[in-house]
Amino acid sequence: MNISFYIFGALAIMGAVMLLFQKNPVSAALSLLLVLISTACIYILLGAHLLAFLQIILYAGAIMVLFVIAITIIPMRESDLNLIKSPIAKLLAIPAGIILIWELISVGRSFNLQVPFATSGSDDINALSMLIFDRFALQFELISLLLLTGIVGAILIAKRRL
Amino acid sequence: METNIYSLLKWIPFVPLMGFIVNGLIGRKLPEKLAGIIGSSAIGISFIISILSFLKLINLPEGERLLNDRLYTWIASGNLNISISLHFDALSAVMALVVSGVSFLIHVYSIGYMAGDKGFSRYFAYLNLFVFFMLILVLADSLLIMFVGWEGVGLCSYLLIGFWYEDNEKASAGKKAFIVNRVGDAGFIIGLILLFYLLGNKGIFAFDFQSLSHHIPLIAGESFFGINALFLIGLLLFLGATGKSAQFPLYVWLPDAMAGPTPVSALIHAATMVTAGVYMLTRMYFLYELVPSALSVVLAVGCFTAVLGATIGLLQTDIKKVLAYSTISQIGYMFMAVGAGAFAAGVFHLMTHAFFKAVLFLGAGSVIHGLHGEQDMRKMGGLRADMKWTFLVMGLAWLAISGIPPFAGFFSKDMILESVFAGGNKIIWFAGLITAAMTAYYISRLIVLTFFGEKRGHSAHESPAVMTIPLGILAVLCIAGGFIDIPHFLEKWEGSHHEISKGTEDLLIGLSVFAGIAGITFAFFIQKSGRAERVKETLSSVYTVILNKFYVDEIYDYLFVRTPRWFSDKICFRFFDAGIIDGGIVNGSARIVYNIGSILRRLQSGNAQSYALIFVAGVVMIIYFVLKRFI
Amino acid sequence: MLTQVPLFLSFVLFGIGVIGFLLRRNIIILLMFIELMLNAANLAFVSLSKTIGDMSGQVYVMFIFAIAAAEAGVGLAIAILIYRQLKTTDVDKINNLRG
Repeated sequence: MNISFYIFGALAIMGAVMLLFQKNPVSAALSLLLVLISTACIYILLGAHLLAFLQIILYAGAIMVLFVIAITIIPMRESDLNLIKSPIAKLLAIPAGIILIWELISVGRSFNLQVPFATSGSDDINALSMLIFDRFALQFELISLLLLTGIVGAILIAKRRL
Repeated sequence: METNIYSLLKWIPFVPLMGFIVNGLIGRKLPEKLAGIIGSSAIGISFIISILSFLKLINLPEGERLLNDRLYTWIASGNLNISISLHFDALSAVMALVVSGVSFLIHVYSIGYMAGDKGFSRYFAYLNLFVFFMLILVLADSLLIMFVGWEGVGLCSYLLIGFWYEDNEKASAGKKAFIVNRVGDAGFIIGLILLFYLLGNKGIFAFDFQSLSHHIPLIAGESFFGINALFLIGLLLFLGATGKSAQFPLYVWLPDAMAGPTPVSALIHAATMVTAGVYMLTRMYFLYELVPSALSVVLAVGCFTAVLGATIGLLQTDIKKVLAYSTISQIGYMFMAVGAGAFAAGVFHLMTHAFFKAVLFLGAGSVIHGLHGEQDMRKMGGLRADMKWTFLVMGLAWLAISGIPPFAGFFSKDMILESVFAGGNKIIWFAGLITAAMTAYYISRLIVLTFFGEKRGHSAHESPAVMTIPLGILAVLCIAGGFIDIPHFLEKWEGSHHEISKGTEDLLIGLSVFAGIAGITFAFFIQKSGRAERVKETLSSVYTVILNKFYVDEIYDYLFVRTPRWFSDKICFRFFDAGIIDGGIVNGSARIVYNIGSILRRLQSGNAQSYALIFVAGVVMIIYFVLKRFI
Repeated sequence: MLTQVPLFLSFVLFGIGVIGFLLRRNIIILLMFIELMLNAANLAFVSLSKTIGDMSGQVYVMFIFAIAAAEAGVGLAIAILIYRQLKTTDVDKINNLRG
């Protein structure tokens, strides 16, 4: 169990780091895909099977396709894919990120948040659906409203002629 | 002493006030003669009432000679209760009679002198206003009311000196008079404040002269910053007197004041306003008797001024300026008398000086009027034949001022010199003697240059009767004035003086007369045969210094005009106002805000990632503080 | 077995997301990094839900899926629009809101 987890973890981190340095936009999309799939595998290891499937269907399936379509539509010059110009930002970004990670890890360590790996099967989907349709029903409906807004908004924004 | 109410008193100053109002409001629409008659008769009525009051006064038994008239309460606040009331005792009687009498004659004279001037009614209005204030000054029964009159005469002096205000120089002369007076008045006010404060501390809040004379000894021991308080007050009041009476160091306005019409010079700057200082000191004799050191200062200043005025007067070429410096010198004599403690002698000389100086000025005015405005003596000469009457009266005044018996000036001047000598101040007496000689010299020089010798200028015509008759009356007073026994009348103010033997007294009289005659002969000697030129050459540098009035005006200009102006401009204005306040504080704060703004503006780059960076920094900080709390 | 690693992994992914977001110049790549950050948040939610035992965490994850999808859609639409207006996808050049 441990090893699979470390493998997938390493894959995810590798994908993220590759994403940092890719010049080619499609390669960047593929790196992101790698991260997403690794994460889905980690969900399975943790026992949240439904979420893993949903991740692959939604994220990897829908959102990444969206990204690739956008990349196809917009022609990009080679220089656009470099790092930004501002020297201050280049100097400060990495330390800021590292400090952030360090702080978060410190918080996590102090609270001693141990995550159990699932030894048997997946979660109870019954329980999950109970939560969705009972306790979080309102939030669920609102999310669907949000998706509607997103769709309408995206179409409106990107139309050439209203 | 018991006071008697005499309600006619208030009309002495108020009739001239009414004359001022009438002439001021409708004078322009009246024909000249009528305005002149209104102005003169106002003073005339005032004079008649003064005489009536005087008669009533002397009918009272001695020791009770005081008339009062209470007008209304001016300030009634807490303990302080100041009412406007008038006070008529022997001293006020003398002053009121002199003021109203001489004013009346000068008013009549002015009808002739100012004929045709377009400001005719304004002139009479101002002159009436002046007499009103002067009478308030001499009739006031408290220091505060007297100060009202004091300021008022200063104002009228300004108005009248700058009467022909279209001429810039004349207007400036008026301003100079007022400003220099103001300096003196500042001293006066500070002295008053000190007096009120010290008396108030002792719980006394009444400031009329009677209560002052009772209560002043209470504060005799107080001191202020180590100086005896009464001495300080005495000096400060005297400073006011130097301003008003044109003594050193505040005399510089009087020669410039000759820019006004000649009758004004006669009235204000010879007979009345400039004597206000002497009157004030005499009124406050009870204070000065307690601080002999202050009197010594008065004596020294008076003597110095007398010598200074006479010296400068020796060489002046403008006829009115000679008389101006002569006035400065003669008032110096009056202050010498006061300083020696002989207040009555000072007032006596005040009266005789009023007579002969008025004649001299009015006579000079007659000459100027006859020569159509010429005032430079070098352009006169030989007028003895043309203006016989003027020559006659001026001759009488000339003899009076030179101290020749039995004319008026002899008695008063001699009394002063005697008192000074008797007080033990031999050097000052000698200076006074030399000044008497110089006085005789410069007046004789004036007479010679104007009336004798060949005609260097135009011919002149004699003045109209309206001008010559007042001259005549005044000339008679020059002769007779010496016999009015003022010192006996004013014996309360006679002051204690040491007795001197009859022999010494006769010697002193002889010396004074000798000084006068010496001056006259010397003048004739030098002026007539042209030896003046040779004297000028031999003493040329001294001559120039004296001719330029010892450069006092220039020194004052440098010290008191240029220096403050430089200071205000360079330091106060450029450095403080424009530099520090405008530039540093006002503009500076704006600039600081602007600069900070332009630095902070760089945060708004429009670049999403820089915003994100700040965002991340914020998140890092917050988590840090969470960490700190929970770990 | 218990371990804290998934949680730490999510922290690391998030940090890398932040760093990348601050450093890259292209809009689309920026949006990708946003997705990465959201994904890291999802992982954290799942881990913690397992720790606590409450399934609500997984419900939240589903919500975040939906939100991420909507946001990616709208974000890409805006990116296309920006490209049409300013003819560039370079973030450094998109500073019309500069003050």
